[in-house]
Amino acid sequence: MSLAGGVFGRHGRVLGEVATGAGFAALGTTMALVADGTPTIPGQAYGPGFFPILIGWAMAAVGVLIALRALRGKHAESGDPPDRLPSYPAALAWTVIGLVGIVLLFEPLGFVAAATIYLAVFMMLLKVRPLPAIALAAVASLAIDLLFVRFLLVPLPPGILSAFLR
Amino acid sequence: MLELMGRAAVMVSDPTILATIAVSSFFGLFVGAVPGLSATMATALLVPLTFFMEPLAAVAAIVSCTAMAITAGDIPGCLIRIPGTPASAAYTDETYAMTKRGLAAQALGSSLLSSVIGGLFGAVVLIFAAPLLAKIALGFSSFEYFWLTLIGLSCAAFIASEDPLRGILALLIGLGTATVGMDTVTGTPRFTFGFYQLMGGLSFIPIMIGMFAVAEILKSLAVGTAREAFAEPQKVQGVFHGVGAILRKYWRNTARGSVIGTLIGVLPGAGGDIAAWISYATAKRFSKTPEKFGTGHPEGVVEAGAANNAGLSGAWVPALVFGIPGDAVTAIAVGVLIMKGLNPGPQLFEAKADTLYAIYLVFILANLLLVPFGWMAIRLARPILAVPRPQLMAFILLFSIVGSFAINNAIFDVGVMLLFGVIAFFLERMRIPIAPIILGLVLGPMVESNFLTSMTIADGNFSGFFSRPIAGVLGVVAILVWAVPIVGFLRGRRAPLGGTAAGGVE
Repeated sequence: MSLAGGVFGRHGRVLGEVATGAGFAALGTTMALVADGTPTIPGQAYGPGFFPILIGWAMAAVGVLIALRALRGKHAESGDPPDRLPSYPAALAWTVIGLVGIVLLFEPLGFVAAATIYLAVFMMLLKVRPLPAIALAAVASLAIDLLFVRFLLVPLPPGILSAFLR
Repeated sequence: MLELMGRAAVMVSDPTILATIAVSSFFGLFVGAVPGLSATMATALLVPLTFFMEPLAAVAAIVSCTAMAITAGDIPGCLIRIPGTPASAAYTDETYAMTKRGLAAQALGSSLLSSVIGGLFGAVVLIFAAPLLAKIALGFSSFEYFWLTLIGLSCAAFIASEDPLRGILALLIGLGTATVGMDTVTGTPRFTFGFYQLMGGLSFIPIMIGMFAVAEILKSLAVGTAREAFAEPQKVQGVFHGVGAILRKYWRNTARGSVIGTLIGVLPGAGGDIAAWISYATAKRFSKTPEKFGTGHPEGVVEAGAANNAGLSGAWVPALVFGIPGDAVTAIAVGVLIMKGLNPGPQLFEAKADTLYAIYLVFILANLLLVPFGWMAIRLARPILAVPRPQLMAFILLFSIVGSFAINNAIFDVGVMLLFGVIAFFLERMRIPIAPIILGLVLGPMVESNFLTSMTIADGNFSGFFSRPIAGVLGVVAILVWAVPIVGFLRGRRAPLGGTAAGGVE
């Protein structure tokens, strides 16, 4: 993994690749074992479980091959430029966590409120000045709400702004 | 045929269609010209809007948007050395070198016109080859489709990636993701873990938006380009001066680029970007003056510029005839076609011939419109590239959220978008390619249902897969596609310690 490569050098890269291979080997095996419990079609050799099991074992095999290849010291790629650590960790974290918040609070907050807050904070974490950020986020969210609800008939929830918007 | 053409012309000259083409071209122009926004991202974000369009308008939107995006991608590459779309990366250094010599106008003009020629060539091939192939496909049964989709998957794994093992892994990730939900043949739920939202499987468009738009944003936040302003490009005057002479001198390159681009576009998994790289390399290999490459020489630019647009049109051939996408954009387009009742396949060529002819006309029109729109894009380069990045990313996030929601009116899909955005972010860090994942997602169900159907017909007997002549040939091809790299890999491992491994993993 490139991050590991920057911090730990060449051994980090090998470790990263072994971890990747091992991770997918585990995932594939899990997949195959879970799929093994799928009911089969009576009278047919191949049922709905066949492909998932096949894919699972194939993924496990490829994962093992990748890990082994890294351990033998052969890399598929040549020289990875070391990565800096994330330059905007707060914005990065907010992008993910904020989206989780949106998924959970979509109905109660409503699209416009949720999107405005999310985007305004996003921009401010990228050093945009607060007033323009909030204004832009609000205007854009309102415009999209208008476009999608009025013209495209998509039921975006109004949430706390339902008195104004609907 | 003339009568069909006439009807098609009437369909296309509808003001709604023309307006859709114009607006989509503008959208594609903007997306293509801004580095960090790709044509695939544009298409994925466009799809929720196509829901509310008629079938022809939806296809017209996608075709014009991507043609314009891939052409506009040349502009920032030439002027500020940052390609607007991956397809332009092959010749960014070359065009930038031309700019430094004061030949920016020529670079842009010649790549624009060669793009138009390449795109038109691909469109013509599409118009004549697709119906021919469709006639052959009429006789196809589940056996032939099984082998064909399997070959498509294999191409995706081996061509799209420098490392076959990672390519296969990506393919398996896509195939695995496609198994979530009810299986196509029996309706048995798989990997749903009790979530009713997963019964229909994971929605394709939110996955695409997540993997292309959200992941790109996460990447620029992690790598530190999130606030970088683009360098101010110089003003470009006289775009078409001397371009005629360049095209006349390098007509062979334009022709070869068009042909190679179309062929590569037809292959599943390989699209405009790979076509551009391969034809730039071909131009250098067959050039009489290879030493000039890299110093600001239009020969490679002209060939690769034609190739990437030709690849766009070529990718539609397998998509329309078999429903097997030629690249990520046509993967999305196939989904849109099915949604609009234009199921790809031979039936499309019989039953909906007039719509098809209208689509052909749209291809021609979109490529011709590249000339005025491309000229406009070049003139507008400065204001477009002045849009600040944080605000731009905020807009993309906004569109991504509402776009993912609008597919099924389900906030769950926004969660899917986020999940796959994060997954794609980490996959990219592990150098696992994204294109095979998409092909796996799209083709996985096809491979499986054709396999199970064929097995039922052949009564569990695998030799039935080779019993029909075309199926037999395709089967052998499929086996070869896998055998050749595997043999190469094994040979490489046995190479003598002192020498270089031939075709090995190095």
